[in-house]
Amino acid sequence: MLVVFAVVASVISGVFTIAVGVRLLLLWRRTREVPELSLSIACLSLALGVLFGTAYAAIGVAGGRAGFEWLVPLRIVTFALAPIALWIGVQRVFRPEARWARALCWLGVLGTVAAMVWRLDLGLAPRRFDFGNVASVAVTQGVFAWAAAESFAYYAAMRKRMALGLADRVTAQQFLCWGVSGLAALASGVVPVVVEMATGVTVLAHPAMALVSTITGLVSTLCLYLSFFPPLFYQRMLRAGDAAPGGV
Amino acid sequence: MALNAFETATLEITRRSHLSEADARGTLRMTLKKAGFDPAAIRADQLAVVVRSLLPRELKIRGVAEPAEVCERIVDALSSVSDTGRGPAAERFLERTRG
Repeated sequence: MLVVFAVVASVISGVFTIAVGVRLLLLWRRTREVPELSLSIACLSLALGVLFGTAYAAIGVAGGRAGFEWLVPLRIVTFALAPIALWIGVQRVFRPEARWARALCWLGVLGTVAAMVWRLDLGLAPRRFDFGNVASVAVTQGVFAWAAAESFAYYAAMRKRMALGLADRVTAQQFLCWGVSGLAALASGVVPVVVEMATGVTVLAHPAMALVSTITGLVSTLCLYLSFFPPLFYQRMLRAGDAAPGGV
Repeated sequence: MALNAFETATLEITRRSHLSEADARGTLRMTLKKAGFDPAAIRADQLAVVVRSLLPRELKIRGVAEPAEVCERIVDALSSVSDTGRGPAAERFLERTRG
């Protein structure tokens, strides 16, 4: 039952992530801006990573995994592509001019490549609590923390501007949703790894951990969709809240 | 070189009050922080609103005589600043995705 729920949540999450990725790609065709392209690549590779991981877990539950081992390196590579694109996207969106942000971005990209090679070498061996694994988690998941911190800081600034009538609630909510999405993505990536380090059981072999990972992943995806492509009814609802007495 | 909105407002504060340039800059920075703006990225029209709404109180605290009048002169000066800037990249990005 747990596995079925995890698979359903993964599929929904995958579909929404692909939707965000495709819409960003279509937007990039018009704007030719780096953030649209990099965030689109991040979403699409993340979706592929989730789908490969879910497929491998489901195959394992259904019987043997013989002949499907190739899904593991494929999952590792696609999961590494996502943070690489995300490091670039987050830097270009939030700190395009800052030199420290450019340096951090490059550190993140190079670190993620190193982590990918490290992980490919490890294969499905459970991660232990050591420097290599902790550093690998930091560089691949740190970008979600960065995106969340920048988004929440922006949300706080937007709230202050709203009091002066210099920002609208929709933009503020977009930043809030991006922040929540980043935190959920961070939880989705970090919690299973920490559990794996503590117990020695990989997320793919542990249905409960897969469930935690997929549910937080689903929250992350839905919030990302609301952040980038808030539906018109949702925008109207937020603006109506603005116009209502006492609405901020 | 033309001054941006922040520099223009700083110059007007120093011209029309006893505050030094460093004090004027600091006061303006603090006011902008309270309003949720980055001094490097604020547009002249946005700064005019912040100056009218929040700056009089800050200037009064610092002993500037007739702060409201000083602020009106700053707003006048800001009207000649032609930085209809595009705003920070993050806001532009979310505007683009929203369509």
